[in-house]
Amino acid sequence: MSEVEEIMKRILSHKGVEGVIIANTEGIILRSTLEDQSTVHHVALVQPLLMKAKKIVQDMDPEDELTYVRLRTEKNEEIIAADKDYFMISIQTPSL
Amino acid sequence: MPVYNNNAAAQGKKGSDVHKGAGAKVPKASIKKKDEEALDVAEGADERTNVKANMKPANQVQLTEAELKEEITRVLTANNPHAPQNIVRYSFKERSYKSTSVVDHLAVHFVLEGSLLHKDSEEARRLRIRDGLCKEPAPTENKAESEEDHAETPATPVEDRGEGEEAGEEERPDSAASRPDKKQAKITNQFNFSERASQSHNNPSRDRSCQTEPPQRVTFSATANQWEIYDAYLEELQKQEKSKEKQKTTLLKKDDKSKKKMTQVETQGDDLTKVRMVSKIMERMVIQNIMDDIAQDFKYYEDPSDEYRDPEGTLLPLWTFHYDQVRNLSVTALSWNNKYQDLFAVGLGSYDFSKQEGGMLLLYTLKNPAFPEYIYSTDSGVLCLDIHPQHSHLVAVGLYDGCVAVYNLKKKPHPVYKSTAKTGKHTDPVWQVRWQNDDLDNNHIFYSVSSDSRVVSWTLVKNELIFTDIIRLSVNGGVSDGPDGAQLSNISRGTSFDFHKQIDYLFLVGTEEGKIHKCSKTYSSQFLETYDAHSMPVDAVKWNHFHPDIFISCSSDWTVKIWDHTVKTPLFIYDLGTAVGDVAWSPYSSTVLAAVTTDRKVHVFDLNINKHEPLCQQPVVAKKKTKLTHIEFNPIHPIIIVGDDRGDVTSLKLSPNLRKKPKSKKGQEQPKGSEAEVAKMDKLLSLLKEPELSTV
Repeated sequence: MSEVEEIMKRILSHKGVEGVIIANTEGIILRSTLEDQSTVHHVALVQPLLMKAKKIVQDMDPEDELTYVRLRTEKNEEIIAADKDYFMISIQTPSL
Repeated sequence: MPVYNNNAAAQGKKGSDVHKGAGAKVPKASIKKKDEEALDVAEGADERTNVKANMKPANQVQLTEAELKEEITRVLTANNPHAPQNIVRYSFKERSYKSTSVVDHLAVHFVLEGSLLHKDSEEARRLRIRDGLCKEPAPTENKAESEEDHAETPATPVEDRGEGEEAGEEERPDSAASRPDKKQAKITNQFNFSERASQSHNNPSRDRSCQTEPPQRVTFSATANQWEIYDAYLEELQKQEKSKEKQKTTLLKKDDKSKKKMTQVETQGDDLTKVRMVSKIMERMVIQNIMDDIAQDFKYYEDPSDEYRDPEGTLLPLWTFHYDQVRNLSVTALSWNNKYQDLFAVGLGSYDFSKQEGGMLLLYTLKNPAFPEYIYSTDSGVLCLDIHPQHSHLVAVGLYDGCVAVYNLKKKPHPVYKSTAKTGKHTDPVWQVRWQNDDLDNNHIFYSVSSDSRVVSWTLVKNELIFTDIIRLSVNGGVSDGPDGAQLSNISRGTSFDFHKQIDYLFLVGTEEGKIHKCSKTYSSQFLETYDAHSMPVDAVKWNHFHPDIFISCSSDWTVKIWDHTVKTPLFIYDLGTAVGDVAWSPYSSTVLAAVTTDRKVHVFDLNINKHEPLCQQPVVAKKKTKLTHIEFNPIHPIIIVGDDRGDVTSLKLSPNLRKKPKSKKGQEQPKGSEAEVAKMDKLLSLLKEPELSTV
């Protein structure tokens, strides 16, 4: 568990990273560096997107698995890495 | 006379308001008084003067005759002189102020409240009863009786009364008092009754309420398709099978309970370890985002200026791998992983004899340049390492204190194997380790060379390392006599070795004395050949990847030499100006090699293009005092990694000029791969040999 914390710390130490959220597939938030309100907001919105993305991948190719989803917007880039039980969101301002 | 006086006075008061009634009476009364006084004075005066003249007071208004005779009508009305006449009220209906004309003109002069009571009123009756004037039944008793029995005839109350009266006659004094008590309630008034009341403190009431959070609402959605149904059935099947197995095993084993407990504990709680993979991916992606331009360069950038700079090339710096904790260690070994070509291992230690601290073994991946994937620390400095070509999770490490160790990246206890003094560790630092093919029993073997002049092979048998001395290096000439007659055994200390790529038993050892010995695994005491290579210890010896005869050596005597193992003298000698730390052949061409020197430069040679000068001589590290210690080519990507004595590893991309492949002539099918390379080399060598032959 401390390994994950370490990795989180390293991710956060990079410039441009605004926040990291770890939650499980039911939407329960495990770790977050943003405030509660916005975290809950984020997770609630990302969850159905992630489910849909998983279904897409599975439907197209049964043996394939979703690894991550990148959401690039004008202001931010959100990377949502998905696992069977957990997913992790990191929000980064692109260093371009 | 008084009338006349009155008139005069009234005239005098003409200016004042003509108020009648009570108000008028008073002035009249006062006038009368005045007049009387005036009369008295006048009469007094008259008596004196005997003249019936009108006496005018001093402040009487002087009026003309005409005015005196004027008739003034005085009206007596019933208006209240004190009532206001000009009341103005705001009327909401008309939204303006309106004067009310109707004014109450009632004036009350005197009020007296009487004490008469109607004889039939309650209070009157009570009084009468009290006074005993009347023997009518008390009004309260009447009421009570009527409430109790409506059916009762009036006879019964009479009877009651009669009884009561009889009883009363017997007990006069009591009944007289009690009867009125029975028949009526005592009237309390302020004269016969005083009441005292007190009230206890009433606690102020407070509202307390509690609101629970409403249960969270979660939207649940899922898609139901064949895929889902199939998955669900599969899971069920698996569960059933597992439960069957468990049933079988419960009969046999007894520690199932503990296992069950274990599984329960695992599922509970805030288990972040499962997020490990996800978080790793995340870290890599974040870093990739940040170092996006470098990643793009790595993949796609080809230096366009190479066209103009033919034949020279450049090295484009890519990532720098830096780990804070190894700042005072220098990179002592580098090795790429064959299976995962973005993974490489870095051994860290110290070349300085006096500064021996711990060492580290780090494994980095190009996907995450910010942080090593695996970190292992060792007691003494790491001097060399090698990753097994087939089993890429095994890493052999040689340490400064002479131990060798094997790390298994997949398993937990580290190191997995370690040699100790008992099990034959070297007595001097181990300078090179190399994995070899598995032996007949399929045990892994690796070789190590050390300055204690031994080349040892180690076999991994189950949990142990078993060593076998392969060869003892000694200088030709055997034992020589020292100054005091003591026998000095001339052992030469090995500093590097390399195994032939194709011929299994053949290997080369470089020594501290600057000699290179060609040895065979089977002959333990004799060398097949010895080359007088350098004047200082041989830092690296490497066979060419393609050509079976060529090898290269470098040393701190500033030279890099290329040899053919059949020839005793070197084919090429390059003097690089400062001590050469390491040299490496490129995996894609038989004629490209790279060397690093202590003046932080990397030299890249392509013998096919220019036999005498490097194609590229480029300082790679920023700070002037860092020395470059090792260099390795990546097996597939056109990048090299260079280690320095600050513990940093820099990755550089080779520009196209440095990676040239021989041009294929039109119509001719070029043999690809190693054959082409061998052919290339042969061509070179033939060029060399011809002039040699000619000179000879």
